[in-house]
Amino acid sequence: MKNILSIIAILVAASPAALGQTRISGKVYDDLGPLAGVNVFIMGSIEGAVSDTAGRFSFVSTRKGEQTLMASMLGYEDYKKVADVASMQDLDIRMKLRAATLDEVVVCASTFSMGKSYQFKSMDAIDVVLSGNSCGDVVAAMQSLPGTQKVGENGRLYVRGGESWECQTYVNGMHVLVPYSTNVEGQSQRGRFSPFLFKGMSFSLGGYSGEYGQALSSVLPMETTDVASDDKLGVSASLVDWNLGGTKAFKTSSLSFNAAYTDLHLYNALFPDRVDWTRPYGKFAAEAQYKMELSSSSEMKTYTGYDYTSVAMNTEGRELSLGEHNVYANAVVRTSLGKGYSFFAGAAESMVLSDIQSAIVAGDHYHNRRNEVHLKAEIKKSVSPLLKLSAGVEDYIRNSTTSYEATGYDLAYNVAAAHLDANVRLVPKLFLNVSVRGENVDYNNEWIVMPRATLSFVPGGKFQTSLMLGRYSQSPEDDYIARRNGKLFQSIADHAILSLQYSGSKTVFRVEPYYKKYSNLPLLSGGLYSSDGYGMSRGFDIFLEDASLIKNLSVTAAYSFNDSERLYLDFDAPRAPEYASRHNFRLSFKYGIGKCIVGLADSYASPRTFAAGKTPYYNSLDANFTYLPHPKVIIYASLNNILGRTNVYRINPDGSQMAATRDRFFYLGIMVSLKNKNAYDVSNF
Amino acid sequence: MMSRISRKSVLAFVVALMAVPFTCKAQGPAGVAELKRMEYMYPDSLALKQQIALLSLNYSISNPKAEGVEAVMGDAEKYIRILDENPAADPSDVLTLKGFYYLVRIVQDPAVNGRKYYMEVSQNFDKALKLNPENKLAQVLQQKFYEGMNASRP
Repeated sequence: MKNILSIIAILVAASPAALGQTRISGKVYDDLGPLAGVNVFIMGSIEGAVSDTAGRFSFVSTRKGEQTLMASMLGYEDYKKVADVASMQDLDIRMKLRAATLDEVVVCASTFSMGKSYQFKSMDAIDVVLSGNSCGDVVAAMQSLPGTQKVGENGRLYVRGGESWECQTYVNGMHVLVPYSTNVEGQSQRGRFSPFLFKGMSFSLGGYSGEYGQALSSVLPMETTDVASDDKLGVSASLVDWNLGGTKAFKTSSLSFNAAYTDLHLYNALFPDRVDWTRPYGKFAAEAQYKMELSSSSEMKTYTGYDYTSVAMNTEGRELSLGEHNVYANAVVRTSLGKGYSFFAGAAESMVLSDIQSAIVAGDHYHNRRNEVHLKAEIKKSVSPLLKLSAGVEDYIRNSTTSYEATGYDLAYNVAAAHLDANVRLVPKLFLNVSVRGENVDYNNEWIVMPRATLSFVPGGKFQTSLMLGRYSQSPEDDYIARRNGKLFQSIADHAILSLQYSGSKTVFRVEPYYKKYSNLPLLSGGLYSSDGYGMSRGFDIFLEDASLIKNLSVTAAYSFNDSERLYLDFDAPRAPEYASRHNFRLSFKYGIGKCIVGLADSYASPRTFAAGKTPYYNSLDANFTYLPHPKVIIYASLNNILGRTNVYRINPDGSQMAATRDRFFYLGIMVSLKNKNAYDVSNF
Repeated sequence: MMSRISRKSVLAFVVALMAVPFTCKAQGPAGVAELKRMEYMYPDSLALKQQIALLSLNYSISNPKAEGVEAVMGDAEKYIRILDENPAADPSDVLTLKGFYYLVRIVQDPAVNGRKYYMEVSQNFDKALKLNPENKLAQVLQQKFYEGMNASRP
């Protein structure tokens, strides 16, 4: 008994109260229930505890009298309670979610981002390469996304009922006049840029802010990688193209080069198609980049690319021969000026020289030269976590020359633009981007002011709802400007887009209904173009990506419904444009097994309507296989249109069909890093 | 008076920082929590922020699938961003933390994050060592990273 009493006495003596200490305890909640991981402590000391899974906490404090109790957790507002330590027992602490600031919220409605930006993700550069039938082509990979249309006869990007020229490409913020390499009609044109050039791509299908202009439907801004930190050298080879590239890294800069040769001689000999080629498609391309960190907060990037494409075929009793030189160069500087200011300046030069022999009849000659200088400057100011402002000016200086036999034109004009942009958090969870863009076109001294706004409700990290309204403009193509009847105004598109999306760790889902109203479209009448054309496009896109069903399996489904009609070019009445299909659906699977990745995708597009009839529906089942035998070697193979369906791309005025020139396409390639300490780095840039 | 207070604060901070290994007996989230309490006492301290990020990443790489690890990684990301935006922070140390962050992401899900983030890891460690070839942490982490990559060979 004496022993028991002694133990009790020792325990009492050792209790916090006996030691002059106070036990502080309680539970932490948020609106959903108990909250684990909250740091609860006495301010000015390290006395505290972390709440457990039931939200409970308990710790001993040596402090006396009035103290401040603090509860802190990332994503929540700090909780403070000033009271006597002795009363801090059985506390109920209710934490409030902290409303996100502008820095923490990226509104990504109507946009698909690739790379490592914190946006609605679906692909990175490797995904682009491995995407069903893309064969490493950025443009083809984009066509797996909802909102795009399958137009097989040229392979270009058509977005939400818009023409291909309504989608414009930007590299490091600077415009690219011609983002596609050329090809003859009936053959897919590939994008000019390798996906491995870029650390991020952001494909906007409409509703973009005032920074981007001269694009009626969509923009594809891409950002090249940063200064390389180590030397690289790599080669790749396939049945159709061969590539050599490398990088020399310096302390604060890097110089990269890449040379590629594409030739279908071998492929056509192995797998003949339905075309009588006299000179199968061939392209030589060379690129160089110099990137430099001017200081810890400034960088300069330059890019120069040249390619020459050549192809010839026998068709309709003549030898059609095509050659094109394409040059693109840009240089940009970004710097942080301190006090929340940052500055951007850039210049870009695009030049394209095209020559076609026997373009329409045997022996004729078509020549086209297009040139654009794009100058741009922008300043941004982060006023507060709740307000950001930006303003910019830019100039597109364009000229072109076209000759066909005795006819032709010389054209030179200038599009000057300025924009103001504000991002503001109106109230917690409600964000507004409002911008205004003004443009002047000098060939008819036209001024346009275009307001744009995006209102976004972001209740938490996973859900986002946005309403986008805005006006967009674009100069008609040079051929139409040169043959204008009086004033040919800029084409206008008014966008209204509603975006609802969920972005979980393994599942992303988005639904976007939209409506676009077109005005001032070029309309041919009496051999000249006026601005009397108009049109509309409406529909909705659905996108689902899920990686939760089976380990290492990723499933993507994309569906687009589009209902569009327009009166433009040589149309005699409003009707659905020939490139538009009402339904586009794509389902793809990607499964990783050890060192292999297997992909399977099916693409469907409903019939397209031409004056002489409707095409059958389009369908292609594609498979691809990637094997990583060594950290420096990647082997890639794909087979497009496994079922061998003959897809028809057009109904000609005489009722004949223009079909794909081959039913299947097989691609086998190997990429090897010769000097690169990074595994699986097929980017030599 | 101000300078005396300032000196006193500095002295207190140095003492507190030296005491970190002794006071932060708890590891993982609890250890991070203790450091964050200290940070409330010395909000301008870059060294404490660096320690918080480092301890968070240390815990996360040892417990990549643990419950609540995302909150710890969230802390790491937050403090790395704060350091990145502060011109007084050592750029080599910040780059090391960035590389470490992506390394943890790879360890958490090698199949998905390996190909996504290996360039980030490699380049950040490379740059950190270019700026400071004596950066021991970057050296060790880079070595571990390459050992891990080599181990993944078939």
